[in-house]
Amino acid sequence: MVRLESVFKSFGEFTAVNNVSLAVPAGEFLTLLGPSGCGKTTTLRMIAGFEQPSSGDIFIGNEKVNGVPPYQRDVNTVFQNYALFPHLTVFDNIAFGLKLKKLSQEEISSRVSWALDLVKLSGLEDRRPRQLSGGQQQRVALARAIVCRPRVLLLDEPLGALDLKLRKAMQIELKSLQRQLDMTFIYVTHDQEEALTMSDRIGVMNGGVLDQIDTAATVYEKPKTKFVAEFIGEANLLKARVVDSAAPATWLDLQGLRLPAPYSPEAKSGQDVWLLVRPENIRVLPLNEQDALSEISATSGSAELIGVLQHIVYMGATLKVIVALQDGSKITAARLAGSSVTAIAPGTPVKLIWPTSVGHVIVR
Amino acid sequence: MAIIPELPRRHKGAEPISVPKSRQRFGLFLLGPGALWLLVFGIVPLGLIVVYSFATRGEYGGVALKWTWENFARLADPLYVAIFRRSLLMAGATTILCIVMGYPIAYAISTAGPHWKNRLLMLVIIPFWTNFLIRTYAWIIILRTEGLINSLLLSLGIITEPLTLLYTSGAVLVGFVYNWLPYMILPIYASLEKIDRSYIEAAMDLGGKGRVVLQKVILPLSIPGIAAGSVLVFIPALAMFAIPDVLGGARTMMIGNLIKNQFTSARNWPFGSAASVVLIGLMLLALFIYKRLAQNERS
Ligand SMILES: Nc1ncnc2c1ncn2[C@@H]1O[C@H](COP(=O)(O)OP(=O)(O)O)[C@@H](O)[C@H]1O
Ligand SMILES: [Mg+2]
Repeated sequence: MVRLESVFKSFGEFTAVNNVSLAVPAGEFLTLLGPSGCGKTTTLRMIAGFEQPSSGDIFIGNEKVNGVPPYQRDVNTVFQNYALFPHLTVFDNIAFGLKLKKLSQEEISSRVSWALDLVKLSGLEDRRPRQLSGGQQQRVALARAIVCRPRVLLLDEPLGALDLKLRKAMQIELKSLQRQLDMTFIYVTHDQEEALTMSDRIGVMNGGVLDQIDTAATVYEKPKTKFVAEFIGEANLLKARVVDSAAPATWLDLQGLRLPAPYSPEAKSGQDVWLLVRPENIRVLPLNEQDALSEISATSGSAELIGVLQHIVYMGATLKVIVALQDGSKITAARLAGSSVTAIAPGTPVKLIWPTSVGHVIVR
Repeated sequence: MAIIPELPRRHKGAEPISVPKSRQRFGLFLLGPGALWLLVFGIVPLGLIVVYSFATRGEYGGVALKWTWENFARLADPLYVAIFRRSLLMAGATTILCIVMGYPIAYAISTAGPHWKNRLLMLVIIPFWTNFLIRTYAWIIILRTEGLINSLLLSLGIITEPLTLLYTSGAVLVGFVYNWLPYMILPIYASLEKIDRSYIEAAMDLGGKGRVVLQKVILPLSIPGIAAGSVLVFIPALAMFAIPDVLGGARTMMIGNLIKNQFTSARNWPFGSAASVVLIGLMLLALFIYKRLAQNERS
């Protein structure tokens, strides 16, 4: 439905969007995720038509839209600050696009009430935007955009100004709305949790570059770059070097220890890599007498490291266990509250163990 | 009375700031000189005018404290009613012409690049560098029988006889519009500048082309600027006497000229005071209407 091909956007010397290519199929909920200033808004504005790409092509449907003004594009935007017209009532705000389409009065009223119903704001037709709460304004902005039934809806951090509770509720509502309307959504946020909650796919942006675009699970479990690994969720990234890489395992050298990881075709022997292990996959066990501190014990089925338990942080449902390795670097393991790890005293040597399959190699 | 459009509006529900007593007293102290000035040179003369308006003209042009409604009754004379009507029409026409001419200029400045903006604003302000009377006299050179316009039209053969341009209502109107145009442009410009670009983008996003955006978004959102500019033009235009004196003839007498004459050549201060009181009443009425409009805009 929307396709970007090698899109660049420069402001003077500065490249805000750097060679972004992506394709969004009809009905998909795609989220562009990344820290502030990484070019998400600029990308969205190029799709909406407020900015022209410096180079590269943008397609909506099958039509190339480079140079097509915003008012001729079949997309609508929910703006970050809502941009509700302050001089118009809720009804007139929502009817704005419909009136320009020269629809009949009855058609306009019926579609406006349909949209108001959808966002659960019926009865507020005659209010002015400033008489609404932030959450209500957000809904009006949403209604104003979807009432035009665009082929693609663009949303720029639409929930950014809401408080946490309302934001969580709206995330779920937005997602179900998108399913119900079967509309293509391109959603921009810097909140990784929001992205994981709602998206069919997530595109992670970093400094104008689209690092990876994949399903939430893939982005989380098999990030392509260190940046993606760290931006989404908590990550233990261990510096290692590839010793030997052949299916089904890639063997790594980590401070003189041999560790197995799932086979990675990009990893060549002798290459510097990161080994990613998510905290929730790491088990922390007391060291048995037969395990010496320096000893390497690894099979291809599981990987083990030895370290010293530093402290345990209580996080509510989980415990954060921080373990120092021999070289002083720290690894975080997440365990369920009530886990046996609480019996281990800080300062005690421990064994860290995880199934080989949960590890992930990222080429440096 | 808020006539400058960019006065910050207090956020809805914001608590009034509480100020400690000592600070309050210091504030009053700072207020002192200004308040004293206003009292001595503003309130007291105003009170005197009101008092005089009910007094009688003395034998030698002084003020005799013999109370009467006579001065106000005399203003109902068709002669004076015509003067008031002419003044209102002139001030109204000036305001409308200033809006019609000033809005496009303000809009053009607000859409110009940052580099051009300051230069264009400077051009709007440049006339203020010259004395107001000199600027007005300059129009005589342009409008008189052997003036610029007539000689241009004659040499082009468009007319054979010079036109009577000077000492007409038209000349006064030209002088008025010329003098007050910047007072209209600046507040409209300020209100246009304040319009968030995202409103314009939202309108375009919803399918609005340039003209629609202008009509349905930019124009309504700049009404506060138009209203503020109208007050800044209408009220002083209503009281102006110098421009009609210089550019107008005997038949273009306005309230300002009437009052001036009563205080000077006619030496009838009580009657002049009565005319002033009515003029002040008209101005307050204009401000009241402005305030009502501004309130409607806000609620
Ligand atoms: N009109 C512009 N002129 C100059 N720089 C811009 C402009 N718009 C955006 N930028 C810059 O481009 C970068 C990306 O901006 P943006 O797309 O808004 O990021 P994000 O939405 O991811 O926070 C920022 O560094 C920003 O300063
Ligand atoms: Mg942004």
